[in-house]
Amino acid sequence: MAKLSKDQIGDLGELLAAADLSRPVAGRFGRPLFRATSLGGKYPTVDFLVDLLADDDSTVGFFLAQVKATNLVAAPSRKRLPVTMPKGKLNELARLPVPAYLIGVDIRSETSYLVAVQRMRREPVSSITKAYNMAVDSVKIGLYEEVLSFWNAVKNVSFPTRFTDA
Amino acid sequence: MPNNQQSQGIKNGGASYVGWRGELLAELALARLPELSVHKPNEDCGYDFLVATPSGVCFFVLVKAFSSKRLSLRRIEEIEELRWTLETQQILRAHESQTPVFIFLIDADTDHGRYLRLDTLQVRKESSDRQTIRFPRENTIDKKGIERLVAGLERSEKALSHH
Repeated sequence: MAKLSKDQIGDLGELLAAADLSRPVAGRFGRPLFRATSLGGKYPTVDFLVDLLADDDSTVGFFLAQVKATNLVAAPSRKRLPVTMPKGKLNELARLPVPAYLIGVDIRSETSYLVAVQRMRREPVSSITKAYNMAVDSVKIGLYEEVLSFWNAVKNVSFPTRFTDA
Repeated sequence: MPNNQQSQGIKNGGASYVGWRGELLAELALARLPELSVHKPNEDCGYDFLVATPSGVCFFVLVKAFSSKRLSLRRIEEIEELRWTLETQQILRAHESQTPVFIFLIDADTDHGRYLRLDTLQVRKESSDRQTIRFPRENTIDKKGIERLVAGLERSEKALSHH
């Protein structure tokens, strides 16, 4: 593989992650479940706003994601992907009041893996598990159902506002 | 069982995700060659991407996408030729472009794609509103395919500049 700059690795990683997230799943859905929008560095800590899609492509919820790509050679048998994220950045993501995930992308094999970012950490991340491969339909379906259940619970909470257009 | 189909007509099946996913896959295909600079021109331009090579050669990319699932097509990558119908005006517009124009035809379900150069494509009947264009399997969009596209373009641009 030609030598890539850090920015090129990052850009390619984001496109690979977006392609993996949006690939249609088979079975009862038969369509994409997610659409990732890059925030282009305009929001701290977050690379993507990822919409959950209904049948008609409308949004029924979303989650936030940070993407970390690597082109380090790692043996396929290794159970963890070497990606780094400083503790401060990770904890900023964990503090957000909506579902948030870290997506690690192996540029060489063009494979993306996902983990939830929920709890505060005392140490930086140096690797993530490869247990949740985003090329696997059941992983995407599980993610969809998990995030959708969050938004369905929020939808049932009343949200009074004084900013009505009288 | 291999797909021995020689030629298959393709049309946009109207699935809502096809357009945006096709464009994403085209951008990813180009990003696999990190030496290319890929830009999104403004909407008036009529093309989806403007690409520049390190040697300064540029080309436009027009993206068309479809859903193989909705067309009930399997093993699309094995079909020898994919046929697509394009408005004659789009081809004639490409002929007028000073910059080479390529069309990328992408299956939004399987990520399979093929390319064709549009600005040098012969128009069979200018009086007809639409033309059938053909994408051979050898024009598959993968890293090697894009490298071939760029190398071919750089050769032809070099030949033109010597005349």
